[in-house]
Amino acid sequence: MKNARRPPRPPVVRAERDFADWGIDAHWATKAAWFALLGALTLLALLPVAWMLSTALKPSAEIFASGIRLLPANPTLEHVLRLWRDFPIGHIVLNTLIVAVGITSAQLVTSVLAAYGFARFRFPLREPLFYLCLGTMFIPVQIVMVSNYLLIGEWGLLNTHAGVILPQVANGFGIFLLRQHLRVFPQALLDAARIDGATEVTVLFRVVLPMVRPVVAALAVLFFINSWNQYVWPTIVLTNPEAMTLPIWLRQFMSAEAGSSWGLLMAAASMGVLPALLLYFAAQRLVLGSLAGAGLKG
Amino acid sequence: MPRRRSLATREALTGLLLVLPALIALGMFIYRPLVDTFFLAFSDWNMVRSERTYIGLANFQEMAGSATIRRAVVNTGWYVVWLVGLLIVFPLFVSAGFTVIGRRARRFFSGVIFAPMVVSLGIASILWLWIYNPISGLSGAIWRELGWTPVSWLSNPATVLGAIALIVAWKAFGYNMMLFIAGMGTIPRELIDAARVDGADGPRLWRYIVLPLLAPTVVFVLFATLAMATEYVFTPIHVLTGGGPTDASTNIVFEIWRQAFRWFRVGYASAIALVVFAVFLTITVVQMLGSERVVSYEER
Repeated sequence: MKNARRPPRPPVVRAERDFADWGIDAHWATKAAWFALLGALTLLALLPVAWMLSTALKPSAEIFASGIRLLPANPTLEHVLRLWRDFPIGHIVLNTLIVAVGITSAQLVTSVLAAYGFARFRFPLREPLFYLCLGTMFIPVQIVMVSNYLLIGEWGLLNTHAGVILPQVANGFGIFLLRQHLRVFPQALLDAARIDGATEVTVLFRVVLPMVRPVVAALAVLFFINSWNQYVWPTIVLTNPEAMTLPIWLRQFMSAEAGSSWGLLMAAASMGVLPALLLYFAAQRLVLGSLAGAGLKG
Repeated sequence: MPRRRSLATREALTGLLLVLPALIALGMFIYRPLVDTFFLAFSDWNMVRSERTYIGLANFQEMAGSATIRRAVVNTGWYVVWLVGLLIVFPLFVSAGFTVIGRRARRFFSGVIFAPMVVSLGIASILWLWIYNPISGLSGAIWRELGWTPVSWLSNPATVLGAIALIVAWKAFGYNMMLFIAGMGTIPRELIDAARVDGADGPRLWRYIVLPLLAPTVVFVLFATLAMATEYVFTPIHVLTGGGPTDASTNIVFEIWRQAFRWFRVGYASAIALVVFAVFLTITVVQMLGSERVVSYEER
């Protein structure tokens, strides 16, 4: 009976699932094998993070003890406390936050404006200009970093947060994604608002934005995580430890001070990993739902 | 008539005004540097001297004769091989497992396996440095447990490239897997059911129905991974090895950085960047042409 044609599914269920589950009636042994593989991959995905947390909470003697012990026998906050007492970790987290919030808000503003312009207004060269924006998604940062470094240096912005943020105030992907959503927006709604005497600003904020709020929220999460994690460009601009963001500072910290103090180093790494993971798990359905195929980088 | 034209003009002006901030930013920091890189590539400059000297094709000639560049290109190829295996073949296989499990299990596994994607590659490199540590790291402990001599993965020229590829694969595996799962979700259920009625099941269902229909997704992910294999590995190289030991882990994008920011040879670095850009552009164009053909195959 395995190959028997199933009765047609009611439409509600169809709308619920846009995923492939045609193997759902497989033999139990097949299922067990897949569960084992997926379980192993889940553990592998979690392992480096779990090992980081475990090391951060182990007393130094336990870190260097032989044998494998995943959970600390005598968990301690000594590394965390020492990190906050002896090192400017608070300052570094603040730097990271400033850069991430700066990039995120700038990219959101420029993306919303440009996507709205490209989607709902006719003007000369609209298509070529849009494709120019789209094309920036395919250019690796390493190709433009040398020239941008020279320009940021000329402007005296090396070792400043503005120097990190400024070259990234627009984002081709954000423009692309929002334009896709704004294009299918009913024109009648916009016209109705305009006939009622609404200004363009009112139309944008009162009519357009509320309709695409989930997409904007998903983009905000994505932009924030990407800029919070960013390595390549900040490592070039920020050479002064005072101004560094966490991923950059961590490497500097490892080679300068922490050396082989892995407990300290893993406690510092947690400060970068945990906020991003918590944000992801909190906004998981929003992000995966709205982006399906989006580009996370970093 | 004049009134209509003024409305159209107003619309055009408003539209242009809306896209202007993004255009200025992207023009200034993506397209201007591209043009600048083009000119720098034909010059000799060290960031300090006030003038850039035009030297024709000398940078490109030096590239062609450089052993380090040759090594970087070969390594880039090996990174691609590693990452195509770990980020195309393997996740494609694993995504098949998602067709046999229920919705709740699917949500749990995909959610957790995707999670490393939100960990900074810079920090991930340090987490893996600790795992790779042969003396007190996890891999050393496991190796000793098994009675083997711990391997110093990152300082051994034979293993360093795979060790770095594994870090990138750990991060991006779930992302590519999700793309494959999403691609399978777009296959019409009726096709699968019909094929099964006709007796295609198990491997044959995959060989003749699922994989051909998944081809556009696979092509897209393949090209995205090709680009990523070059761009992403920069970070673990920069954090962990600096291209060493003796150029064993460097890649072509890391050489751009090394020439510009280690040796301050801006012209030479720009020449490398220009060649990389030309290759990327070719790949992107080939991808667009290729995916059109695959898509039309699907519609036939």
